[in-house]
Amino acid sequence: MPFVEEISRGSDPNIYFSSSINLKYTSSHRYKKFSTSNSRKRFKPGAYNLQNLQLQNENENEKILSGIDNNNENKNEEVNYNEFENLIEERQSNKRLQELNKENYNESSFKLELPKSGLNISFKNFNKSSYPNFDLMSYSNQVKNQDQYQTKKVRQGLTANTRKILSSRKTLSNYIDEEDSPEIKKLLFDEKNSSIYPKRNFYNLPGKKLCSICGSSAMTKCVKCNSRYCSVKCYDVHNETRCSNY
Amino acid sequence: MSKTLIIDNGSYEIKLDYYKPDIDSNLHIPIKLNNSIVRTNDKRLALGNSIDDIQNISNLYFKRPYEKNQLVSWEIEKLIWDYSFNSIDLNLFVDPADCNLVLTESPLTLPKLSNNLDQIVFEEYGFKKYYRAPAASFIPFNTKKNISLLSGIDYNSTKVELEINNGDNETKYYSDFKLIIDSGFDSTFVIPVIYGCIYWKGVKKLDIGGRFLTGFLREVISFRYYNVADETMLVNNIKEQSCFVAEDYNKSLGLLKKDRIFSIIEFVLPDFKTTTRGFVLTNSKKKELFEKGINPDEDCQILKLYDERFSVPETIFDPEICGIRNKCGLIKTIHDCIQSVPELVRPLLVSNIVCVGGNFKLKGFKQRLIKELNQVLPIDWDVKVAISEDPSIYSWQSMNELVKNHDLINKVYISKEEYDEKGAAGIRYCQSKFGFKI
Repeated sequence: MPFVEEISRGSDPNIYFSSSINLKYTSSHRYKKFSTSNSRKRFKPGAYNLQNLQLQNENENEKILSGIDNNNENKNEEVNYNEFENLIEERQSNKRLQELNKENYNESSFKLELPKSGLNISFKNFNKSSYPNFDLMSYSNQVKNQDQYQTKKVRQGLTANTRKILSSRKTLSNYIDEEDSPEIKKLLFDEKNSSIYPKRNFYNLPGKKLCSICGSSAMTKCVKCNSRYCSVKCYDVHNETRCSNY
Repeated sequence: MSKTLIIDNGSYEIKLDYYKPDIDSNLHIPIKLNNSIVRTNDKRLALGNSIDDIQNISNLYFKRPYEKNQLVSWEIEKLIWDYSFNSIDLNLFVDPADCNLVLTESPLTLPKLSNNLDQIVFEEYGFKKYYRAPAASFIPFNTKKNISLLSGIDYNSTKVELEINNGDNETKYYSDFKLIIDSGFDSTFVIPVIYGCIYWKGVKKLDIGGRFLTGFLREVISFRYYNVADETMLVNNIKEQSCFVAEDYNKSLGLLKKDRIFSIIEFVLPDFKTTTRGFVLTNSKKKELFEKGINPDEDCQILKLYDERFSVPETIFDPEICGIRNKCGLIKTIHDCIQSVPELVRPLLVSNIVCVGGNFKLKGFKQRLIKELNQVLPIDWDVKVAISEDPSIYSWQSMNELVKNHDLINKVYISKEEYDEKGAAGIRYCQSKFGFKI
């Protein structure tokens, strides 16, 4: 009895069909691929070859780069997932870096603007006679405390250029936008393509397995969110506070 | 004879003082000044070192002229410079018209921001002569100290034989190959300096610095013990006094489980009676407190630190600990830098590593660097790392050493007359002489 197989929708009818060769990714495949983001390729024991892995990784990266240029979806379908994952990871990491790299707790809600009319600065041992060429500000006589003087801005800068520099409130992003040369822009601020930021390679270092709660070494992972914990005690704390999927 | 003012304009602290010919430059300790304006809890503003007089250090708001290692806001920086040039505290009283200026800027500054700096120096202050360069390029000139640190010989008994190039008949004052690791408040740079010049193609940057470490420690303490989210200065104090770099991270973790007593540190939090800044409770401190009639275990609020002490500095080597997965650690950064210089020079750079910047005040950095670099680099390369007693002022002392050579420094100065002569092209002239070229 001949075995009948249905030809999947969308495939070329003129080509000889065999399910094992010509079947494309269907939407269910795509979903599966995406959801198991942490799965890694398994190798036979002893089959590791660092150079091959390195090459493979480089090839993949090149594919990603070329995939952005030409919109051939069929070819780079698999690669696009990787790119997508990388993007998510990149974004999360950058967000985390920004969060930790803040000096002020209330940076987003409050901004310190120096008032244009003058400043209330408490100088220790501040003395008018000790400021022979301090012509940026002159002081009114309202002395509040003994060591506190109100200063008033009278003149900003001696020449037109410096006046412009001293009064400008541009931030770094304004200056980056103004920069004419794309090479310098890319070199200094484009972390992905710049040569001064070293690229991370994922296979070099075995990650440290640390408890997300107390910081000691941990062998077990939370089933729901993949972060590590070392003991039942820490697991309970983790469930109460940090587990995102609880 | 006009004076020479030397300023190391860091993003956390300004180090500045005059050049004094009668003091050995490596024993000369400059004035340190906080490079920030601080808004205190009671809404007063404090500038520079007046932050030390603040009683309540919680809820401070820092505003700094630097943004991502670029000197952006001259509105603030000028206030701080004016204060440092003129106040009685520092006792400098700078008269720019009769004073030369040697200044650092961060490596890879936007050319436009460098232009601003030049304009301020010449047009606003009007310094007589001026030279600016990244801090790293001054280090090779501190030959004697470098040799004594790298070889472990006592500084006073170190002898320096200056080479004389036969062709030019000139004495060389610098050492040829140096790899500088500059880890500051904002970020970490790895800079190869070859024949006294920075090799710009090899400069690498890691976006992790002291501020990041403080931020991470702040988060960890807030999660595990007390909420210190708006106590940046307190957390910074805790970091400076108690953190260290573990030589072997896993081993230190294991030790923590075995004998807890030795690896724990007790930090007394400020209570405004005994202390306003907090301190580490050692045995001698305990005795002192008992003599005053205070029982530290009952009367003081104590923060016990376990693995935070070494896992926070560990993020420099492995940022994945705190969830940053797109950055590599310091060792990979150094390795990449070494890979990008000409092959012949690599082993020479590796045996001439000098570390500067405040982060290297953490204990144990040197041993860790040597250990990890030995793992990565070929076995016959001799890894040598030099970290001075106070690495944050080491670049300032090296600048001092350069200024000592009048012939050398006079060649690179740009004078005010020269600048004025060029007119509008003056800033371009400065940038072509001092700026980076890739």
